[in-house]
Amino acid sequence: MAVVATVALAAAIAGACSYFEDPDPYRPPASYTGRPTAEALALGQQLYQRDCSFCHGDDGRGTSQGPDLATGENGPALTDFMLRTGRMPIDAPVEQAQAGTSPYDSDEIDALVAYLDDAFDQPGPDIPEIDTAAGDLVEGRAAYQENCAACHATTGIGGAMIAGRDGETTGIFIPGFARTSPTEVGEAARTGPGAMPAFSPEIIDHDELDGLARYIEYLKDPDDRGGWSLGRFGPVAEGAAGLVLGVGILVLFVRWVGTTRGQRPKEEP
Amino acid sequence: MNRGRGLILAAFGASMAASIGVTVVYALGGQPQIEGVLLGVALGGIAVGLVLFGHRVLPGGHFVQARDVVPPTTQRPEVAASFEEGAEPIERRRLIATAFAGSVALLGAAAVFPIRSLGTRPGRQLDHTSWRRGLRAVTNAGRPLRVDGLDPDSVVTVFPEGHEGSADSQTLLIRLPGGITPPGPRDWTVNGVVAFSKICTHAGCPVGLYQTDTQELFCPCHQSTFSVPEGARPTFGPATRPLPQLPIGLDDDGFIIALSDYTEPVGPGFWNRP
Repeated sequence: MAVVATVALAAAIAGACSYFEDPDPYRPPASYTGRPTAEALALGQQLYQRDCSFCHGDDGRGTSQGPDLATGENGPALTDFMLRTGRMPIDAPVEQAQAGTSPYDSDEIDALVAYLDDAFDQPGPDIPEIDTAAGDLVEGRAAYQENCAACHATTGIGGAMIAGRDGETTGIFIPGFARTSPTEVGEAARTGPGAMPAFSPEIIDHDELDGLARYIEYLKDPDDRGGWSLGRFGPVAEGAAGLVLGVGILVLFVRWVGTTRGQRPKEEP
Repeated sequence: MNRGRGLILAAFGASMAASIGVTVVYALGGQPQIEGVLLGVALGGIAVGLVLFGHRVLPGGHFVQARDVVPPTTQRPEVAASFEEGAEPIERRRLIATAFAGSVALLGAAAVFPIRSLGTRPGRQLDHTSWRRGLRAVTNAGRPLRVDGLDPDSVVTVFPEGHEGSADSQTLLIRLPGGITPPGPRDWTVNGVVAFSKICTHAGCPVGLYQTDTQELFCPCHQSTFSVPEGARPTFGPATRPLPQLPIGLDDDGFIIALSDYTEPVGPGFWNRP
């Protein structure tokens, strides 16, 4: 009996300690840690000079064709995001960078990430380590609805934003999450690529970011309670379906109202 | 014909009973689903009653009238008799007419009661929000914010501390990038951080979309666009007034606080504010 009580007490104390233990809010980056190898830096430099320097300049300070890579949010997270999603390299600098297939393999991307950080002393954040298993789905949903849903849609399918300036209307494309990995979610949230705002750890902390990435994973294949998702476009598609079905039933009803019993219209000879 | 009459009376009777039911349920505190079903029965009963009346009581069949024949005066009594015959079902069915009038009147009476649900008069409530001098700007989770915690080009929705989730107080903190002069009086901003009401001045939707490359806020409902460096001036869409700016400063611990409430009413216009 005493043994059982001692074991139970010890377990309770251990549990309480782990409960009160301050979880380390900062985690080291995942794929890019410590000093890169000399070979990786050489490969990165070679790829940079070949594919990137035309727009971003030999020194990474940007040209009229492309932005400065040595200031702002530029760092391993943003570089990795732009390369891994195939947004860079871009064909024409006037276009909005769109996701596609990257021409580089994973090692080449790591080499470029390491080279840019090393050569230009970038100030932006490192690649965040996302652990979706540790994330809380409900907390992630709250963070999503508060910070992401306005632009990327409640269902995560993305959308479009039009902006007018002095009578001229322009538009940008807002991507959905169908092909976005949890690490890319973290990178985009921390750096705000393109027209997207950046979300620092004060706005979305590390645990919330885990939850957010987990919720976005969930959104790729959600539990459609209504049974019929209609492409998850929301009110427009749902309204159209409602109109077609609802008005169809009404037409049948109106036909019943307009038909006299026993006197269905006949062709007169 | 009698069976038709019974069905019509039953339909109008069901409508009357449902109208009384709506009033009773409303008076007992209300339950939307039950009220909805009863309202559906009240309206549907009138519709079904009218349709059945048309089908079963009014004379049916095809009536052909030759166009250019003017009946001689001697035929007048015949025509009059035919007209009387057509009007007869309506005249003779007093009970059905009374039931119809009763169901319409009861439905009208039931619709009067929910006026009470419009609530009390708003008074001066629309002119101010929960922001007060010295209240910290916190996230929906209650976290206060420092300027250092906001990267340039970041945006976060904040509320006055203690009023998290307050709909009329929702405010956007935006940190503008270095090269852009913050709008508004200089002592209303801190290190490039500006605060604007998140409620669209057109129809009250949350202006939740922010484009960092043009520093524009965009309303998802009707595409109103506000240029933040120009004091959230509307540049596109139906909104006519800029988003109100909240004066912000720092408290002794370095957290962002409000310096006062908004100096003008937030959100869309109302009766005495066009």
